[in-house]
Amino acid sequence: MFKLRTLAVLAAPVGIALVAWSCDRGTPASPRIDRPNFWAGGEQCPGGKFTGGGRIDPPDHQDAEDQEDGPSGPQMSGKVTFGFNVHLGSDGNGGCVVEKGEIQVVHHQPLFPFQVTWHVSIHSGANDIDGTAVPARTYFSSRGGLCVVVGPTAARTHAVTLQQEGTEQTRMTACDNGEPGSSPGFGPDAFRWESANFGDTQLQFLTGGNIQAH
Amino acid sequence: MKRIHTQWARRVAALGLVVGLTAGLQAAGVAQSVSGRAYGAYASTPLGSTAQAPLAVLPYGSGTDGNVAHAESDGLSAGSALSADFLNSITSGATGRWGDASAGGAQSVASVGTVNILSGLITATGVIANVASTRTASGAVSDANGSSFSNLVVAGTPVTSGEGTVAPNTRMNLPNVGYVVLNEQTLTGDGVTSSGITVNMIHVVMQQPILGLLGQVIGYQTVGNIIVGSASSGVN
Repeated sequence: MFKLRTLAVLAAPVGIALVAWSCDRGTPASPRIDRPNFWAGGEQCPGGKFTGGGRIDPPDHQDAEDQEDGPSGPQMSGKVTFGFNVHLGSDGNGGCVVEKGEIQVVHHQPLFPFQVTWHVSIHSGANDIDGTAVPARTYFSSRGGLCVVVGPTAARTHAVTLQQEGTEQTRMTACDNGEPGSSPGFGPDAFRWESANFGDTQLQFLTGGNIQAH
Repeated sequence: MKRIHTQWARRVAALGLVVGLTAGLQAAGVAQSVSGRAYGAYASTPLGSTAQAPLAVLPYGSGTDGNVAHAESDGLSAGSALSADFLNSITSGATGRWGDASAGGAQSVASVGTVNILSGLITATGVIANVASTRTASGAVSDANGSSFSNLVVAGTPVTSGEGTVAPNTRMNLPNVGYVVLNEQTLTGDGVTSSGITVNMIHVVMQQPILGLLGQVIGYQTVGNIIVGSASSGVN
């Protein structure tokens, strides 16, 4: 009897403590991410996949600190929504490529060129449009997050208002800087879309959505 | 008396262990699945109907490999109930995250350009529904950050000037029609291991009065629904 009572007295607080622990392990909204053990820096391709979707509002919330290079074209402004899933792999020479993936980007622009959509599709290591390999690389952001750069690579473009369809070179940068990826306001995750014909959003903190490095 | 105490002690011990182990395992578990769905517009009314379109749905079992789905339409109409242009729907998600194997996330965006509902009763020059659900070791959350209207006008009343947001679940009456709920949000999940959200940016509920024997109004019945900008995401 004594043993059973003792067991009960011990087990109940343990249970309660575990519940409290599971519900109350507070972590910051945007925790810094430790580098994975397999990461050696330099040009090594970490592999893995990146997934994301959401919205940016260039040029209002630029992440200038983590933008790798300057503007590649006119400033793209307005609302930009996007979604993507890309899997990275090695090209056999130590370089990094996209093994498979899709990127969809939509520009909601009240002024010229108005409304434009882009779509990139990659299968078996090749872009569906031109059959070429799609280069990729990763780097660490100043916030301890991980960024991926995909391209330059061909995208199918649909300029809805101008009634034009075609292909052009594009490049995507996406940074996973913490969870959740956006807060009321903006950030911490960031996204950049560069288009040869329609300009460059530059790296912008998300105003909605999330980006995750897996 | 001894027997009662023994049973009580056994029950408390068992309960404590079960609760503790369950909570512990859940906290240490990993995200099992993600879900996502988005569409630009839907109407089911006596004045005209259209299916949920363009509809993007994250394929079942997208978690491990990750996935993205999208759909787009230059424009659609449903009689005098609804017309809209430049509709785009995107949803993506995956389980696991670098540095946190228990993590997972899904996010969806539905965007619409110009919107005209019920022959100008409600108009907007842009609608975006943007949702995200995220699970980490510290819990599961969902939000609708980034959802907005452009130049929304309801029954002649400007609701947003330029780009703006509206408080969740804002209801406005539409005389002789019914009512509209703006930024309609529905949350699901326990916030620990699961979370989900659905946002309908414009949800018109068309109603007709139910009359009693003496012609008095004794209630209302729903005769139609119109939804513009719907996005859902979930993780567990």
